[in-house]
Amino acid sequence: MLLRRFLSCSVFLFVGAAFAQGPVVLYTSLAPTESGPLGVAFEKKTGIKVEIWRAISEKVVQRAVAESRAGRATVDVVETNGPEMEMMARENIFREIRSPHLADIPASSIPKHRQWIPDRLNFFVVAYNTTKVRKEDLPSSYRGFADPKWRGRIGIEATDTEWMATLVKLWGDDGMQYFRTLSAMKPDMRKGHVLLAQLVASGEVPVALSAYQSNAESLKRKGAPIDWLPMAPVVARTQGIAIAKNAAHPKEAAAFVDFVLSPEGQALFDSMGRTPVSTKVATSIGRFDYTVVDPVTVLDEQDKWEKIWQGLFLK
Amino acid sequence: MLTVTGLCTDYVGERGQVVRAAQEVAFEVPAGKLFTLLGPSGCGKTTTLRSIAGLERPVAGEIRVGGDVVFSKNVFIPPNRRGLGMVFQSYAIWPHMTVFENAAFPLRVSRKFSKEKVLRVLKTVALEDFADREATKLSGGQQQRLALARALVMEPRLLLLDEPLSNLDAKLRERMRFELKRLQRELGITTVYVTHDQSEALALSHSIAVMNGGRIEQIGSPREIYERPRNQFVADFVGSTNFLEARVLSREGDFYRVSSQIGGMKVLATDPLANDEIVTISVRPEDIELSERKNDGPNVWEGTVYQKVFLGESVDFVVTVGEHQLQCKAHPSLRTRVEETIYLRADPEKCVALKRN
Amino acid sequence: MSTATTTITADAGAAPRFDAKWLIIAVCVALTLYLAVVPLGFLLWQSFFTPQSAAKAAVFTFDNYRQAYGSEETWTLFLNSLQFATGASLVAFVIGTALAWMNERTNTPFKGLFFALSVIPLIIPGILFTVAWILLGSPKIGLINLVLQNLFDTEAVFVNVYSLWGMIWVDGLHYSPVAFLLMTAAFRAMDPALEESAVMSGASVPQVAARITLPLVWPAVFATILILFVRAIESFEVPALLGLPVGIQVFTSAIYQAVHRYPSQIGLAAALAVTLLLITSVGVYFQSRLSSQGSKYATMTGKGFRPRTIDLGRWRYFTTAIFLLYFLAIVVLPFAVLLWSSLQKFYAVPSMEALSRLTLDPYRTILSYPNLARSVWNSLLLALGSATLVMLVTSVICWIVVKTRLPGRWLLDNIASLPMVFPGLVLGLAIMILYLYLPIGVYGTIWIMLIAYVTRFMPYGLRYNTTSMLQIHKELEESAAMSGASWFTTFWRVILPLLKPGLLAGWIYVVIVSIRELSSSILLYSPGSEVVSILIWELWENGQYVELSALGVMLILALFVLVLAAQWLGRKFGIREA
Repeated sequence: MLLRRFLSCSVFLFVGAAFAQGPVVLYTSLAPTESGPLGVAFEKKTGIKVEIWRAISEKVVQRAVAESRAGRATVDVVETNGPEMEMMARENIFREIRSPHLADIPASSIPKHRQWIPDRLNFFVVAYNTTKVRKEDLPSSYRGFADPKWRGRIGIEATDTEWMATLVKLWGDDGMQYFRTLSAMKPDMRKGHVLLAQLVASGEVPVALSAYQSNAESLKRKGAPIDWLPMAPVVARTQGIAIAKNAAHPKEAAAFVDFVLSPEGQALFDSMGRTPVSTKVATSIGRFDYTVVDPVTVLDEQDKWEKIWQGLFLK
Repeated sequence: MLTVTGLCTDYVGERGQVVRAAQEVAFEVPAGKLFTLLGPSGCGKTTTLRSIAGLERPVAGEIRVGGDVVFSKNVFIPPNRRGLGMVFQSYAIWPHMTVFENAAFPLRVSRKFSKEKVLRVLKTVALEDFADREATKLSGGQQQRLALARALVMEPRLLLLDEPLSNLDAKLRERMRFELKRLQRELGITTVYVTHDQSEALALSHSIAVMNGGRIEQIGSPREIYERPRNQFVADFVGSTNFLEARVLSREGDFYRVSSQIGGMKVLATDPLANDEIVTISVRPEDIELSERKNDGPNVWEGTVYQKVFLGESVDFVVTVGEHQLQCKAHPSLRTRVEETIYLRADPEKCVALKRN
Repeated sequence: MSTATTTITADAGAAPRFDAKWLIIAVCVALTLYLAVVPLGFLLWQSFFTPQSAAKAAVFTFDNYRQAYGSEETWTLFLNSLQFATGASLVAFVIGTALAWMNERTNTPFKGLFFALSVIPLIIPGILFTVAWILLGSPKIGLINLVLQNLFDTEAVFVNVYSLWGMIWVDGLHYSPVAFLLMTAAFRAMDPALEESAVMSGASVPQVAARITLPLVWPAVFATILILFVRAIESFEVPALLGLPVGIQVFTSAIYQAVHRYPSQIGLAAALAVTLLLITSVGVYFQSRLSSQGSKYATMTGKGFRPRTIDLGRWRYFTTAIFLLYFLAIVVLPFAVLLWSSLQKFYAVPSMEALSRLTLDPYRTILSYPNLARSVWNSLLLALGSATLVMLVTSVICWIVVKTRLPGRWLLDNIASLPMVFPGLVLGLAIMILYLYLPIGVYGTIWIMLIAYVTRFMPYGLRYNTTSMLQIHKELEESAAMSGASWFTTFWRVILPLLKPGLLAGWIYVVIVSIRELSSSILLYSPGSEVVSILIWELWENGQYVELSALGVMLILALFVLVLAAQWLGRKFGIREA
C-alpha cells in the first residue's frame, strides 16, 4: 500500500518534471535538413525537445497570427524571413527579446523594438553555369549586365522586388535607369529561387542575377556545373527569430533563442551552409560588403515597388 | 383482394407543371383473378399500378390489399412493406448479380432465405438450369421469366405486371402470353396487369379496365368489353370497328330502331336512349356478314366492293354503302371482285348504340 | 408510357418502425452543407472587409470588388485564363475521352493494363511534371529539340513549352486522367446494343462514337469539361513555371499576389474568386438541367445489359498506335526523366558523363528521411479515409439530386460543388480559423486535414457519382423496393454496386489527389501529422530535385499497385464484363 502510494507519487513527480521541461514548439521556414539538426543540438545540450512545424514564410505568418488572435498558446518560437517577422511584430504577437548574445549581432540589423532578432543572412548573388559561361567573362559589377551581349542569357527571380528596391535606393535615379535598360533586355523571369538555381545548373538560364547564395552553393557542393559570386553591391536579406507573446513555455523558448544566437548555434548554421549574423563566428563563404534589405521599408513601400516591378518585368 | 377507390395521383412534369395522371380511379380485384388495366400510352394505367405498388404517392383515395389499408388519407405503407410482387417493363434485372441471387434477393432482405424456395421458383419459370449464370447473359425471354420468378418468390398477396411482354419479339410474346396465363391460373395469384395491347388484355384477363385520360372508361369481362363497349373510345381502342351516326326512332324491347347514315337499323343499347337522340353505332368488321345473295332480316344493306385485302385466314373488305364505307371481315371463300355488288348483314345484337359524350 | 418520377416514399402517419433512410440522408446533407457552406461563408464575408491587422480593424467595404474588377489588368488576366483553361480542358478532354473510349468500348489489344497506366500522370506532382516537360520541350535545353536538331542538323526550334500552346499541352496532358476516369465510368455503364444498332444502320466506327456514344454520355461529357475547365482556371503551377518567363500571367497569379502581401489581402483574393464561383454555379446549373431529364440518359436498364466492346477491325492497330504514343508522351517520357534524375547526384541532362555518375543515393536519402514512415502512414490514412468518405457521402447526395424530385436539390448540388473553386489557400485558411474558435478538439490533429480533404474533393466525388447515377434506370431501384428491401438495403446492395464504375474512378482520383494535396495541408498539418505532400514540397523548396524524383518514382510505383488492387477489388464486386 505504502509502496503503491510511493510509486504513484513518483510518477506524478516525473510527469510534472516533463511538463516543466518544454518542449519548445518552433514555427519556421528553415528547411528540416537544417532546423532538424538545430533542434537535435539544442536537445542534446539542454534536454529540452524541439517540435518543428515547417512551412513557407507566409503560412508561418497566417498560422501564428490566427492562433494568437484565437488565444491559442501553441507556438513558442518563430523563425522566418525578416519582412514576415516584421509583419508579425506589428500584429503584436511577440515579446521583447533579452539575450546576452545580442551584443554579437550588428546593431544596425536589430529592429528597435527588439520583438525579433536577426539570426542568419541570405545573399542575392550572381550564379552562372560553368559550362556555358566562363568566370572571366562575367562583368565586375551588376552594371556590366546592361551590355547587349547578355541579352537572352540572363534570368531574374520573379518576385525579387526588394532586391531591386535596395539597389535603386543605393544608386538613386541612376538605378532606375539601370533597371529600365535591364527590362528592355527581356531577362528570363522565373518563379522560385530554388528553380532559378536549378535552371542555371541545367543550362536553361546561363546566368541568374538574383540567385540565393545558399541554393547555388548547395548545388555546387553536389558537383553541379554551377558557381556563384558576390557582385557589388551585394544585397542581403535577414532571417529573424522571435518568442511568441503567449508562449506556453517561455523559459524554454528563451533558452532556444539564446542557443540559436550563441556562437555555438551560429557556427552550426555556418556548417550547414547558412550564413550566420553573429560577428563572433567567421563565415566560410568569405568576406564582402553587403547591404541589408530593410524589412520595415519592404512593408511600408510594398505597393510602390510592386507596381514598378510589375511594369518592368512582368508585362 | 385488391380494392381501389377514388384514387387520384399527380406527377410533376418536365417543366414543373402538375399533371393529374390518375383521376377517381376505382376498381376491385377478387382473389385469384387477373385484372388488366388497358389503355393507350399516357392514359394513367402505369401510374395507377405504381400507386398500388407504393412507388407513387397518390393525392387522394384509398387502396386496400386483402383488407389491409396500404394507402388512405393518413396511411402510406412504403412499397417494401406492402409485400407485393412486381415485374417491370424493363425487367429491372440487376446486372451485378447471378440469376440465383436476383431471384433470392427478396428472401434475403426479409431474412427468410431458403435455397429450396429459390430453386422451386426458378423451376416454375424453367430457369433452374441457369441458376449460377450471370443475369446479364440471359436472353430477353429468360430475363422476363427471371423477373417473374423474383416477383413470385415471396409468394406475394398481389402480383403487379407492368407491360411485361412489350420488350419481347412477336413470336416470343405470343408464347409468354400463354405461359403467363398458365402460371397465373395454376398458382391462383391475384394479378394486376398493365398493357396497351388489347389482344394481350383480351387473352389473359378475367376482367379488364379500359383507361383514357387518367379515368377508367369501362370495366368488364373481355367479352363485355369487346361486345358491349360503353362508349366510342372503348369500342375504338379494343379491336377495330365501324362507326355510324344515327338517330333513334323507337324502342323495340331491348333493341332500338334507328335511322343511320346507311339506312334504317335495329341496334342494341346498354343505356336507355330517348327518341330522336343522336347516337353512334359501332359494328365490328367481323360482325358484318357478307354474301353475294341478298338475305332477309332487319339489318341488311346493299353495297359495292371498294377494296379487298387477302390475309390468308381471312379477307378484309372495304364496302361502299351509299356514301359511306364499311370495314368487313370475311372468309377467304368469298371471292366477290372489286366494284361488284355485295350484300351486308349485321346481327342487331352486335350493333351497339353508344351515347355521345 | 413513362411517368418519370420517383416519389420519396415517406412513412407519414402510421410508421411503426424507425427508418434509417432519413437519418442517413439527413447526416449526409447536413455534412455536405456544413463542409461547403463554412468556407463559402468565409470567402463571401471576407470579400466585403478590409484586411484585419493589429493597427487597423477590418471594416466593411466594396473596395475589394472595385479593385478586383475596376482595373483593366484583371480583365487581361482573366482573358488569358479563359484561353488557357479552354485549351487545357479541351486537350485533356479529347485525350482522356479518346483513351477511355478505346479502353472501354473497343477491342484494342493490351488494354487491360492501360487503365492503371493511364492515371500515372496524375500521380506525378504538378511541379515535377512541369519541370520534366521543361527538360523535354525547352527551346534551349529541351531533349526533344536537341534530338531533332541533331537529326536534321539545324538550329531550328521544334517545340517550345514556353508559350500558351505549351502551357495548354502540359496542363492538358497532366489532367487528361481526370477525363479518362470520368469518361471510363460513363462508357462502362452503357448498353452496347445502343451502339450495335447504329453499326447495323450502316454507321462507321467514328460515326458511332460521334453520333451515338458521345450524345448518350452527354451529361458525363458536360461534367467532365466543367470540372476540367474550373480546375484549369484555378491551376497555378503550369502558368507560374511556363507562362511567366514569356509574360503570360493568369487570373490565379492575381489571387496569389493578393494573399502574399502584408497585410494579407484575403478580401481581394476572395472578390476575385467570386468570378470562379459564378462560372461554376452556371456550369452546375446546366448540369442539373441535364440531370433532371433523368431517364433520357439511363443507359443501364434492367434489360440484360452486358458491357461489351465493338470490333474495330483493322482500326485497332491505329488505336494501339495512339495508345503507345500517349504512353510515350505522358507516361514514359516524364517517368523516364524522373527515373533518370532520381539516379543522379544533381539534375543533369543525360550524357555519357552523367551516365558514369549513376547512384542510388537519392533513394537512400529519402528512405532515411525523418518522419518518412509517419508521413506515409498519415497520407495513406487520409487518402483512403477521405476517398471513402467522399464517395459514400456524395453517392447519397447524388442520389438525392438525380433520383428524387425534392425541391432545392439543384442548390444542394451547387453548394456541394463550390469547394472546387475555393483557392486552396483560402480554403485552408477558412478551415484553420473555424476550428481555432470551435472547441471540438480537431485543431492541430489529423482530423482537421481529413475535414479539409473531404471538403476539397467532395465536388469531384459528386461529379464522378453523378456520371454513373444518371445511367441507372430507376426501375432497378424500384424493383428492390418491391422485393421488400428497405431504402438502406436497396442503396447498399443495388445502387452502390451499380454505381461502381463512377465510384471506383472517383475513389482512385480522390486517393491520388489527397496524397498530392498541399495548399491546405501545409497550413493545417502539425508536428505529428506530417503528410507525404509536405515532404514533396519540402524537397522541392530545398532544391533536392533528385531526391524528389526518387520519391516521385516510388510514389508512382506504390500508387500504381494501389490502383491495380482497387481495380481488382472493383472487378470482384459489381458488374462483370462479358
